[in-house]
Amino acid sequence: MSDDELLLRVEGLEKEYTTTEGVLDRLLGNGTRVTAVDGVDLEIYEGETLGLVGESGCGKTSLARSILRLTEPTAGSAVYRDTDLTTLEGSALRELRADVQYVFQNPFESLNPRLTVGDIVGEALSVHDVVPPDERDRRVGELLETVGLRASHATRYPHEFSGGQRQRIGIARALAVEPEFVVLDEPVSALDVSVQAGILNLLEELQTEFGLSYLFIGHDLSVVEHVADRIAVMYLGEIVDRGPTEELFDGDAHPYTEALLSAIPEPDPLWEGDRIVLEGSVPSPADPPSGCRFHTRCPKLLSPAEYDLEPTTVRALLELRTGLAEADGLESLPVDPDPDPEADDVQAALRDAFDVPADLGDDAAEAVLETALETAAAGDVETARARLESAFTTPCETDRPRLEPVDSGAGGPDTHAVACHRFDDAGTETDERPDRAETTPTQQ
Amino acid sequence: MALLEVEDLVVQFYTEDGTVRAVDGISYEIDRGETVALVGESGAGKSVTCLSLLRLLERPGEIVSGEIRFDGRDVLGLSDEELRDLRGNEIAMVFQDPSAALNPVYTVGEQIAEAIRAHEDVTDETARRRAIDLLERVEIPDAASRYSEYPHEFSGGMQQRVVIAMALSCEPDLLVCDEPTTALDVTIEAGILELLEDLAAEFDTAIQLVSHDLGVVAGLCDRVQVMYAGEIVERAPTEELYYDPKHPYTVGLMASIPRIGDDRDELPTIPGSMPDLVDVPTGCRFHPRCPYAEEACRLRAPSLVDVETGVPADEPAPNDHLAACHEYTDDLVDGLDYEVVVEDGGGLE
Repeated sequence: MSDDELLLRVEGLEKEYTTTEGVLDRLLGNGTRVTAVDGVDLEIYEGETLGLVGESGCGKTSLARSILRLTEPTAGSAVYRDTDLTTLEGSALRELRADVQYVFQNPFESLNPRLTVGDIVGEALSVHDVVPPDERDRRVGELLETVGLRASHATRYPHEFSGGQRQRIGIARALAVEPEFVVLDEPVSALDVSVQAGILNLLEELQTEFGLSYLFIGHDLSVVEHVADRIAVMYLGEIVDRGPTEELFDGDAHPYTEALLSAIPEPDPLWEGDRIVLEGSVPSPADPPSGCRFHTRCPKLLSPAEYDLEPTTVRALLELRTGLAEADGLESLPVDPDPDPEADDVQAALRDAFDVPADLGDDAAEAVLETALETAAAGDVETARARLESAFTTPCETDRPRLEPVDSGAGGPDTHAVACHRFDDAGTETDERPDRAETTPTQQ
Repeated sequence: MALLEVEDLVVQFYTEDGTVRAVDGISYEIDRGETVALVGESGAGKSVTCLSLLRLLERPGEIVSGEIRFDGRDVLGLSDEELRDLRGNEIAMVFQDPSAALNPVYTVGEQIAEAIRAHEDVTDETARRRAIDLLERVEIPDAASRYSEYPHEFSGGMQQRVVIAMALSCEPDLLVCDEPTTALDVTIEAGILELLEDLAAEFDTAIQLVSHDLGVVAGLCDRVQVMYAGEIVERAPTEELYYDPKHPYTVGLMASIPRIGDDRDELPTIPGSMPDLVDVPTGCRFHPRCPYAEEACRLRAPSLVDVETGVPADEPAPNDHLAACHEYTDDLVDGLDYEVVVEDGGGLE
C-alpha cells in the first residue's frame, strides 16, 4: 500500500525516565535511570501501516508518545515531512497536532465522562478551528456517521456506550482534525473479538478513504499481521527486527520475532507447531544486558568463534558461568553437599544441574570445560568461572548487534533489517557500537 | 456421576435499571480430569458462572434457582463451614489479574503456606516445605529464596504461577481458571498454558477455563461450551466445534478472528452488540444479530438439542454436539447457509 513517500523519519530517538523523587534526590544524583527507548530509528511512509510489536515494558508506548511529544524525548529527532517534531514549541506544536493524532488503548479512560460525545469530538474542531462554529454540530454528526455511529449519539455521554462504540468515538475525535498520520496504541486490545473485527475493518476503510498512515501498536501478532504492511519488533527499548510483514512471518527473522510468532495461540485444535517458550522474563531496562540485549533469553546463541557448539550448549555454559558467579563456594552450588565427594561426581552433578551435555561435541571445548570443572570440584569456583568465561564467551554477550539489512537487494520500505549476530556476514561483529556510557551526554 | 453438575442455574443481579439475568438456566457437567472451556463475549455470563460454583457471588448478585452438585454434594446447601472446606480443597480458582489475587503485604511463600495450613493440620515447617515444593512445581527458579519475596518483586507471569501454586496447594479436583492469561504477554502466556496442561495431567485435575481467546481454548481444552446472553448456545468437543460449528453465533465468532496467513482484507463481523440483559430479545436471543434469522426465531426460543437428531439431551455425553438453533429442529424455512473452510498451512509450519 505504501507508495514510498517518506512521511516520518525517526532517528536515534531516546526516552529516559529517572526514578528520583524530589529535589534532594535529584541534586544528590540518587535514583535509577531507565532508558525506555534507546536509539530507535524508524521510517513511516505515506499511506502505510507500520505495526509495532513487543512485550509489555519494551517501550512501544514510550516511543509513540515521544514521537508525538506527549512525553518529551531525551534525545534524537522525529522529522515529520520537513519539520522536526522534537524541537517544536507552543503554537507550532499545537498546529502540528492537527496532522498527527493519537488513539488510546483504553476507551474507558481516554474519554472525559463529563462531556457529551458531541463536545468530545467538537472540542478538537474548535481547538484547531477546523470548521466555522455554526457548522460544528453538523460536522460532528458527519464524523460520528463516518465511524459507524449515529449523528444523534452526539448528545449522549460516554458511559452510555459499549467498549467498541467508545473506541469509535476515540477514532472520530482523532479524525476530526483531518490528520494524515494516526498513532493507534493497542486500539483493540480491550475489546471482544467480534467487536475487534469491526474496529479493524473501520480503520482499514478510513485509511483507504482518507489516505491515512498508521503506526499500529499491538501485542497480538495475529491482529498486527492482519493490518500492517510492515512490522517493527521492539525489545528492551530497541528495534531488533523490521521489515515487510510477509518477510517477518515467512522468512528468516530475529530469534525474538520467531519466539513471538510461535507463541501466538493458534485457533486450531489440530495445530501442532513447536512453541518456543523463552527462558526467564524480560530483564530490567534499568540494567540492560551487555552485548545483544536478548542474549539472556535467546534460544539461538552463537558459538564462540574458536569452537563449534550447539546453541543449547552455549546457553548451558552461560548458565553454568552465571551459577558459578553467584555461588559463594562449592557448598552453595546445587550439587550433592556430601562432605567428601568423589571429584568426578561433583563434575557430573554440575553438568547435570546446568543442563550441560555429557559431551560438548567439540574436543577442544570439552577439554577446557573438564579442566574448569575439575578446578571447581577442587573448591576454586572463581578460577573455574574465569576460565570458562575466557573460553566460552559468545559474541552475543559482548558485541551489540546493529540493525542491518539482511539482503542488500531491496531498498526503501521493503528492506528487512535484523539486529542479530546470526545475520552478520562473518558471524562476529568487529566494529563495536560504543557503549552508552561513552557517548556524549544528552541534552536535558 | 460427573464431578461437577450444574443444573438449570439462574443468577440475577438487582440493579437500578432492573433485574439482570446474567445466567439464565444453564446446565452442564464436568468429568474428572476433563478440561472444559466456556467462551463468549464479555457480558455473556462466563465469570458469573465461575463465581457461582464457589458461591463467591456478592450482592447485588444472587443465585435464584438451580442446582450445583460437586461430587454428589449440593453446593448451594452447604453450611459456611462446609463451604470453606470445599473452597481451595476441592474447587480452586485462578483469577485473571494475579496482582489483585495476591496480598501485597505477605510474602508469596507465606500466602501459599497459609492456604495449606487452613485446610490441613500440618506444622509450620511442613507447610513451608510444601510451599517451596509447589513453587518449584510451577517452575519458579530458586524457589527456596523466592519463598520470602513479596508479590511486587515478581513479574506478572511469575505472579500468575504463584496463584496457580496456591490453587494447587490442596490438590483440588477442579480448577476454575477465569481468563488466566489475558493480562499476560504471549511469550509468558505460552509458558503458563503449558504449565496448566502438565499439571492437569499430573494431578488429574479437571479444569473449567473461561476465555475469550479461541486460540488459547483450542490448545488446552477437550470440550467447549459457547455462552451468549446468559445461555449456553452450543457445546461440542473442541475439534468438532472448530471445524464444524453449528450455531450461527459460534460461526460468527470463529470468522471474526484474524488468523496468521489469511489475506482477507475485511474481517466478517457480528453486527450489533450483546443485548441488554435487563430486557432480552424475544425468541432466540441471538436473532437480532443473526444473518439467518426468520420469523420463527423472533417468536420462539430454541432449546439446546442434539444437532443430529434434534432431540434435547437430558444427560448429554461429553462427546455430544448440541446447539440451540431452530435449524436442528427443522423449524427454519431457509435454513443456515455458511461454509467452513479449513485451510492447510494457515499459521506457522
